[in-house]
Amino acid sequence: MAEFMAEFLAMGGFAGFVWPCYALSLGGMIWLGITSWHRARTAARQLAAMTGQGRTVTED
Amino acid sequence: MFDYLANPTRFMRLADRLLLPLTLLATMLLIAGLYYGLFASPADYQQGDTVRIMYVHVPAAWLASLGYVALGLCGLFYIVWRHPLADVALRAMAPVGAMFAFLTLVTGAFWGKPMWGAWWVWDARLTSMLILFFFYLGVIALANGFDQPERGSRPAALLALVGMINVPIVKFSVDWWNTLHQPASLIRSGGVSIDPAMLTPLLLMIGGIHCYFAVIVILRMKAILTERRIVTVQLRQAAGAPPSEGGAA
Repeated sequence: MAEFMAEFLAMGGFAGFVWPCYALSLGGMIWLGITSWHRARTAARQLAAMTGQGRTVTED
Repeated sequence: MFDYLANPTRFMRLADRLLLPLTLLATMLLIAGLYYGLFASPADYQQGDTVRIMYVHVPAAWLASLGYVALGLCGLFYIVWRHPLADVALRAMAPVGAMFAFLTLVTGAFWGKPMWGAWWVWDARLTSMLILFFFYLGVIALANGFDQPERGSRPAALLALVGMINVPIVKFSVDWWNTLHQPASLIRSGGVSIDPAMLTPLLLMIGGIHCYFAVIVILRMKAILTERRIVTVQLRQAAGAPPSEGGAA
């Protein structure tokens, strides 16, 4: 198992090229997802507080 | 359909219905794509394991190009029909498309170094993709560069529309000029030239990333519409009227 993992992580000697691509892509997608969701939730909460309707984006 | 969606309240209702299924679909497709791409697909006989960069590079490039087509259409809808949601969609899409154009350039550089021996070459495909990224940045800058956001809507829509001329250049650059970049493998006259073992993860990742794009754009459109309602409510409150959520966005 350890041998398989070491071989897998080494990516045939190209680990320094393959893994940064996956890390950047997935990291960027997760970051954009979290910031977009947070912005929508913050706005919905602010509107709910102003109008007194008590609904948020997570409850829609 | 477009008239139906012109009402922001109706759009919000539809967006709420679509958000969860699209999020689940994007998650499932991306997990399956990553599994097949990293574990179940073989290394290339020439490129070795660097071919696995394709499973993030190609979907990002497709999204950057198709996202710009969507951006240009939003610009057209805003300029010609003054569709109220076109400006909102344009503002929501531009940063997402810019991120994927950036990822295309960076992952391409990481793929180019071991294969071509260079991080960057002024090749037709790479240069046209860089220009596409600059168009995205220009649209973002114009949309957000004014004290009153609505003043930036028309110039941003115009630039989005003008930039569409670059999309076919990105697509056909590998056919029109001699380039280091490999020619098209999926959409080409002779049919798909990728082995099914590599085509499966590639299509899964393309599908997953496009569903992800839809989810993020919907979330950002909801945020922008809600922020506009907040401004409307603040103006009403300042004018002494009772607060109401039903204001125009």
